[in-house]
Amino acid sequence: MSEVKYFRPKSYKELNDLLDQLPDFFLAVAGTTDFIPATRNGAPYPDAILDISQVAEFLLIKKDDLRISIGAAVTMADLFTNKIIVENAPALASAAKSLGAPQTRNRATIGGNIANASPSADTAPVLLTLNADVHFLAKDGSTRQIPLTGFFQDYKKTAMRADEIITGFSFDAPASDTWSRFAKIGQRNGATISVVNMAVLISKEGTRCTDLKVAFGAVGPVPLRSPSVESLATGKIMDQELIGKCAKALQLDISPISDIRGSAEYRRDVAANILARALTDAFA
Amino acid sequence: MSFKDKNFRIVGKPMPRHDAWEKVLGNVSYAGDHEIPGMLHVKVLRSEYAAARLIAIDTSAALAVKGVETVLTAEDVPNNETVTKFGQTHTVGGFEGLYRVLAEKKVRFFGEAVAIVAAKSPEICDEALKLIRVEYEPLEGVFDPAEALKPGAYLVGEDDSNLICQYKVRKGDIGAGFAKADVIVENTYRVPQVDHAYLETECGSAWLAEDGVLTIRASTQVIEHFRGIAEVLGLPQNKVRVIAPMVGGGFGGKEDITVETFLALVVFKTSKPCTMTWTREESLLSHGKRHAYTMKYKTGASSDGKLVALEVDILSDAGAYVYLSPWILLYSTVKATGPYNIETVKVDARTVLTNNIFASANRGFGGVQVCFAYERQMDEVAKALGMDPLELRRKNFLHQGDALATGRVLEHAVETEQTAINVRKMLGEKTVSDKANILIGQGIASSMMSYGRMTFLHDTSRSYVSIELDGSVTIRCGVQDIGCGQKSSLASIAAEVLGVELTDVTVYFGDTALTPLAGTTTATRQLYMSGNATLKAAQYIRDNLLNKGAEVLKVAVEDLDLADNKLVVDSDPSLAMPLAELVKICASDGVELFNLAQFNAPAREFMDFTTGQGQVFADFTFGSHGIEVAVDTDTGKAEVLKYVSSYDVGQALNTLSAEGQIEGGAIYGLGYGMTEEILYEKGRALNANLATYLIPTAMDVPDIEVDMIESHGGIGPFGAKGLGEPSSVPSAPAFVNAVCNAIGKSLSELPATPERILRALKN
Ligand SMILES: Cc1cc2nc3c(=O)[nH]c(=O)nc-3n(C[C@H](O)[C@H](O)[C@H](O)COP(=O)(O)OP(=O)(O)OC[C@H]3O[C@@H](n4cnc5c(N)ncnc54)[C@H](O)[C@@H]3O)c2cc1C
Repeated sequence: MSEVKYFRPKSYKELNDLLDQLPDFFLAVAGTTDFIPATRNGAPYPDAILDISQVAEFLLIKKDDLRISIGAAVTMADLFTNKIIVENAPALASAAKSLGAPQTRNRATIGGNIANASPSADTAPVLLTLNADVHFLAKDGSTRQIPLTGFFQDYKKTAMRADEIITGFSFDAPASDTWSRFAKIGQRNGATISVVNMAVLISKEGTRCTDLKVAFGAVGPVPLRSPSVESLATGKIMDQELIGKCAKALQLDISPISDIRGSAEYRRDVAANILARALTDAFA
Repeated sequence: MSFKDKNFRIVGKPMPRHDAWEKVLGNVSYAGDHEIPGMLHVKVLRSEYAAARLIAIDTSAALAVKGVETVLTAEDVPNNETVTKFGQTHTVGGFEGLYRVLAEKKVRFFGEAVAIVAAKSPEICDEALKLIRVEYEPLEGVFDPAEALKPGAYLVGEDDSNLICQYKVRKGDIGAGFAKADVIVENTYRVPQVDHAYLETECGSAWLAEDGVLTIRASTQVIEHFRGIAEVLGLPQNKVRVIAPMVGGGFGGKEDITVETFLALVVFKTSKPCTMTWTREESLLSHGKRHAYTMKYKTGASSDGKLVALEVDILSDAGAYVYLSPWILLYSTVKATGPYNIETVKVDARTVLTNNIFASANRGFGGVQVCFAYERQMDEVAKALGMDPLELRRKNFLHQGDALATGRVLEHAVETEQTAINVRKMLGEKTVSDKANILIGQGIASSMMSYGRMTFLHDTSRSYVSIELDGSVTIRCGVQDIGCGQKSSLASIAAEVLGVELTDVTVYFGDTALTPLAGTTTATRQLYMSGNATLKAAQYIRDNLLNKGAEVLKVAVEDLDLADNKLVVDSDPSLAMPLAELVKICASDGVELFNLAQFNAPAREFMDFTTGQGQVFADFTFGSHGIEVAVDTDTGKAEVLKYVSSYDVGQALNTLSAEGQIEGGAIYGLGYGMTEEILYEKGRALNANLATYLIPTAMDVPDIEVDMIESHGGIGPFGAKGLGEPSSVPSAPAFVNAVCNAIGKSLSELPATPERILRALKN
């Protein structure tokens, strides 16, 4: 049995100071709710574990002017009880509240949820509709940020480089009259992984949809936005006919597979139904 | 208030379990909590094939790992193959179940134990397991019981057929029955293999005691496996001792041997203490499951709702080894009609070996599968007749004095009809949906479930009760307490009879060396069997006490009673004497203050296999469940809005415990209805963990409203009936009946997942 180095910096400065001690094969972890099951299932241990769950700056949720930022180590329990999130991004709060069980939510972080890049990650569709950016810090101390839409590349493949960690996310606060929803279809009510999940963000004037952002999870190798639906609906009067067309258009953008949680057919049906329901409710 | 005037002080009251606090405080030492200095850790190498010939096993590299004490394969087991005869004290002919400690000749299922390693730490075990080289010759296997029955099918075992056994029941002329029918309803119902999913996975420790007795302390429902373990090791039975501490859930999954023989073998080979705990994945892969069934039901009814004919064909997947499959199938065969009086009946049932995980006991023991079929079928017949489902049931329920299709007359209380009426009333009016995509439905299901073992097994139980010199009471009874309050119930019986408080009673349980053997904690038999034995023993002491009291106080025995730790004189309360004083007098006069009693269940001959006529069960518990659901037509998700349950419990020993059983049973059964299913790909379980094998969470279960009828018509102590298994039987059909009522479509397969419901809605 080989030894694994373990680092747990308490601040951004401490983190920066130890970066050059990290071996090439290191992994950042936070709540370890994905990491531990993965290693138990045979995923290799890295040479060093960088536990970022205590980095003070990564635990913050802030709103500066219109920009909201969320640290990588913010837990689900913190997210759905945080006033800034509840008021400005209620769909993110409900996604966080839907994840796992209370014990899971007390540990699971938003950084881990995105870095782990599961197609069913519950915060992913919401962050996609919010046009969130992902912020990175590299081992050499450099930082960069990219739109989350470019982050998920393929099944469990992301734009994050091996020498990088996620430090947080940022997005513009949606206008106060935007309509939003997070929907999760699981096989049971508690501690369930999404068979399909969806986030919708709508701006409207009367029955006209002035802006629509819609994202789905677990209907393809990565969480994704639906450009077909968005371009079809934006600027249009939302009526039952258009809603039906949107539900059809969605099918072009998704490529669900059958797995032990559900068949591809079920995922297609449900994705269409919950989209139609959301559009109906938004314009009711 | 006392035992004498049947106005009980303790029995039938809502009492906190007398062992509850210790559990809540975490003070109870379960089988996996035991530490012995220097103990070895034991792990199992499991087959990665569902069907393969075992060519060779090379353990040398594993043995060479530092810290490894021993690596054992089938060759190292003195008697690796033993044939289990069913029955506790009597050997009943007919069926023999082959039990193998470690795989030999052919591997029969994915997860079967092939070798075991004992080492200084669990990590060293893991390392050694990786170094064991097993040469397999993969074989085609067979995974579907219907395929397994075809001529030329792959043979799972060494016999020339995969068929284990078949039963039938014949009542009247079925052809004439169907000829009389105005409607005939035919359906095929399918139920999957499911797991018990107890909190505590299989675990235990073992050591060689100073007296040379090989001692195993394990999580089990059956300490009497000490006999089987002795046979495996070639030891005399009195050189093997099994202790069952409090068990963290059994539900039938710990009825067969699990860790015991592995632990015993390591002690036998090394003389060192050892311990073993299965992972959840191992537990899911390698203990017996509830059988998957395919059930064809054809029912004929007259237009006024009288059932005139029922033809049933049951095909059961026994999995890779026989274990308890024949008995489980017999339960299903006898109960296939449900609690209904049907003019003509024809039942055929078969159980077949396949290369799936072996199936064995699971709460309901064959009564659950058929209940799904007969209760779904009742709703389908009601639909065909345009009749209310409760009305149809009421026209056909069996009542006291009626005979089952097997000819067996129901001598004891039968309150099924009342329980069905009660659940319908408790459900009340249907909730009104305020959303276009939400459909509301209600469903009920009734059931008949035996308690106590099959009567030809000549079941017995023993309990020892004594009263100490200070008036406190000791019970020694070899029950296994699997969390249902087995121990607590015995305490309340003795306390009631001897006029002491619950806290005055100490119960020693679950030890083959020190507690009289009380049989298995299975078949909903412990309250019935060991409760009666304890009642008998306590009654004996009570009689001795009262006789002596009459002599000392010079009053008639009939005038005396025991209550509140006193000898009470009914006609003159001033003469009351503290119990402790009376006990001392008895002791000095040589009056026996102890008793070892045996209770013998009413025994019968084996049923007639050519006609299926005869008595198989001594008595049944009857009850009904009612469920209201809200089905989301967007997703197929069915939310349970209301859950009500009504049982004739005979007499509740402790109303809180009885309610707990009924609520637990409802939830256990709801998982069967909604989500649970072992998914297979050619014998390999795809969801062998609790992230993918889905049991209900707290978020899935509404409040459960419980109704208890006390007919006092059971054959347990004080007229009690058994509740453990019966409380769970009708959940799944009640749930699916409610879903079908909501969506106006028929579902005939479990679990009724959102996906299946949506598919039914689409068609
Ligand atoms: C019982 C249970 C239920 C669950 N239910 C859900 C659910 O309903 N929905 C859902 O979406 N998920 C669920 N999950 C998965 C998991 O909880 C979430 O994905 C969680 O958000 C992961 O966060 P974490 O902090 O625990 O990540 P960790 O396990 O610590 O890390 C996960 C992965 O991300 C990497 N990582 C973590 N943080 C960073 C970082 N800052 N920078 C770079 N890489 C990083 C790690 O190296 C690792 O590969 C569940 C897990 C469990 C155990």
